[in-house]
Amino acid sequence: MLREGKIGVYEAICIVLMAITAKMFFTSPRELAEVVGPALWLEQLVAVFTALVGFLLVFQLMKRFPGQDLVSVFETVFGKILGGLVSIILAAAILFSSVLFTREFSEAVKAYAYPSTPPSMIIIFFLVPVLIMIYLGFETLARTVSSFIWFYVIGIISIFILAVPLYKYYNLFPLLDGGIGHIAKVGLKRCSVYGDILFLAVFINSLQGIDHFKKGALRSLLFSGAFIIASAFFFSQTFPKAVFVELTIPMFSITRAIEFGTFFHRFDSIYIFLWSISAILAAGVNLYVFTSIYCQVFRIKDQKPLVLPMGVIIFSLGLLLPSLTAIVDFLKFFRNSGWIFYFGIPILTLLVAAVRGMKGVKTGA
Amino acid sequence: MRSNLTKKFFLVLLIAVLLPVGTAGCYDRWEPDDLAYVLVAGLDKGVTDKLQLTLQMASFRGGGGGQQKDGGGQASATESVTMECPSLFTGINMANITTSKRISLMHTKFIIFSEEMARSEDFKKYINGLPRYREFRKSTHIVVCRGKAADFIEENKTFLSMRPAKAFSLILSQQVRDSFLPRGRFFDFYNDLKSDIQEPVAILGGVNPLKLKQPGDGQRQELLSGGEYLAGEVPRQGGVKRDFFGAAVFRGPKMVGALDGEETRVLGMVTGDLRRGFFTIKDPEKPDCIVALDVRPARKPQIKVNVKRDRPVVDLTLRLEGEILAVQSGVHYEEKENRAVLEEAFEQETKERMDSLVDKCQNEFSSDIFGFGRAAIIHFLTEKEWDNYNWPEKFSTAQVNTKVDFIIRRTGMLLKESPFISEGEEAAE
Repeated sequence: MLREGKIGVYEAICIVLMAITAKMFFTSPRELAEVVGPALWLEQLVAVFTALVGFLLVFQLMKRFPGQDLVSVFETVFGKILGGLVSIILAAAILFSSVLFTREFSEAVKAYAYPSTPPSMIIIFFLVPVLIMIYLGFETLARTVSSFIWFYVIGIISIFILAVPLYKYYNLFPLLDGGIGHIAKVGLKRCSVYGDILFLAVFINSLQGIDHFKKGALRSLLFSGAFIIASAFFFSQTFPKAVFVELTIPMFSITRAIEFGTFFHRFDSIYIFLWSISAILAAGVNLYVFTSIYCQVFRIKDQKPLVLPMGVIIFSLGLLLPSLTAIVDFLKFFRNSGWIFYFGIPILTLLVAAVRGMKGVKTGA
Repeated sequence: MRSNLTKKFFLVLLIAVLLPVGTAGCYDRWEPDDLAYVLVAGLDKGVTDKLQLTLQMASFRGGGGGQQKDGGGQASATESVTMECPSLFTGINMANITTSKRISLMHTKFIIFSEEMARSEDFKKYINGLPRYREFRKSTHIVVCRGKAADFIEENKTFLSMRPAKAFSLILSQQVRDSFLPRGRFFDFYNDLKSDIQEPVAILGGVNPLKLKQPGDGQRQELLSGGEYLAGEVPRQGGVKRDFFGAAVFRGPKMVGALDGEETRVLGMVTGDLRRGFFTIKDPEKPDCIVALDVRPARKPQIKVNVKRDRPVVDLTLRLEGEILAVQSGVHYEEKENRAVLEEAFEQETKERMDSLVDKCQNEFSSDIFGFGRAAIIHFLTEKEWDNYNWPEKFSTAQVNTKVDFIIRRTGMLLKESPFISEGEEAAE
């Protein structure tokens, strides 16, 4: 088994917060605005509550099997082969998400900052720090994320404060756009954005017991929910729906529009740092989770030999995607059906465990 | 142990070598003097091709000073090039043959459309492409010029300034404060263009002949407020021929009319864009004299729309405050009773101007440039309900009730104006 070391609640919150909120600064908000318009923030409110219910069920599952991580719970409930297969499906979903994220980042950088640089070059420079972090292990990853988190949070909050003159309250109307039912339906499906909370169940043994798991997960859900709802609220106030749905990356467009007099403008150059750092760290977290599940399923004791091959796989898969519009389509599919992997599989496991009356053995720890 | 250290050393070395390569951005590296910065781009209808594109670029000739030319202004610190092309972007490529530098829109201050272009179907074809282009920034201003954009750019020179980039970016932002111009930023223009709650307005430009009327050419028949001109008609001599004055009104992606400077100021009062302006009104006690006032908003304009009836009812309240700048008649408007008379006179005059502008926008332009739709949309819960209500059509039929509250807060550096001694003696006789 991998020796992943120990992290505290603070690091756990940082990991999940980074993994969840980084998505908000790419193409996803635009795609959601197309579906729910200015009710984006209300839809996120539904999504966060759905994720909360989903997490409480995951928590019940983990509580039932004390001392076991998610992969081991799958194996206990479904048996070694089927459980391993379920874990691999979950890992594949996370890998797929990471590949999309990597290519989405490279396309976004190409569109906004480096138009002449080939995507392969951007992906290589993106993957180098990601792979180094994974090579150095979970603790290093957790500490790196937690040391950057304040820079990231303060940076994003400052951008939202600087953009205050751009906010027009009337862009939030019609408040319910497609109707309450429609918003609720989309919100239920799109709880997948908070699915990264499941990562803590994979690393549960690195946390100091189930209480820390619960505390870390609930707090990270609360913070990331607040962060995403606030972002959605500000995005919707800045652009009317017709303009919002046109933008590749709404957050970038906001930063480009900030202007105070003739001196304070072009904040996008600062934002690119925040953006790149958050993308690298979020991709690092996702890929580490993939590595960790893979290692646990195949009983690999050291993740280091996997790092380079994994990098090559992600690089190759990333380049197989033909265009940004194809990536957006894949992301749409993944965001709409991601809840099946992140919450559906653990809930199904809980149901099977409950029906079969399976429980873990409480250890002295 | 030793091999571990060596490994670490080489790893750190590798990172140290690789990182600077990444930060240099080798493929997209451009030195500032490798680029030709377009400050102003002008779009006219083409003759041999679809578009006539004029680019005014900053020159690198030692800060841009130049000798005085006929017609005022300096021999520009800029160079212009005009070409016939199928699109703005191909035009930029084509223009590149004129210079060894790569032409860049990164520092473009304004995009100028000729009135002919703005009034045609072609306008939307070109405006749509702008926000897609990476170098174009939404802080750029949109100008519609009376006549040809190429002629306007020809006269677009700096005045009292040696740096064209700074001068061009300041001229519009400073004039906004004087309120004869709308804000005109592409960000607002484009948002309004794409939404159905407010129609867009652009800055109106024109070429001024710089000739003042001579005695006998025609007298001023009545007192004017100073803003009743369109760009290109402002009575002045000296300075540069390029004029920015008034606003171009759009309905959807098509220009439908123009507002003069005074109407633009009133529009600014309603939209909340007016920061401050010097207003001149007839003296209510002595109509052959004027009173000059420094006016600014006291509160944000209050707009309420009742959409319950088929014909919407708009209640618009403006709260303004001001300072007395000049009283030609010598009437003591500082005193409470007189002050109320002056306040009422200003309220009345502003209300009349506002009513007239609302009438013009409803009946002539059918364009809600005031943004009354902003206050109407909040009554609707879903997009379907809002679309069914059809605000752009309802606007023309709306009953608009206007109210102006004006209060004189200060009297400038004088608390009271004493009469000239000779006048006092004459009065005594």
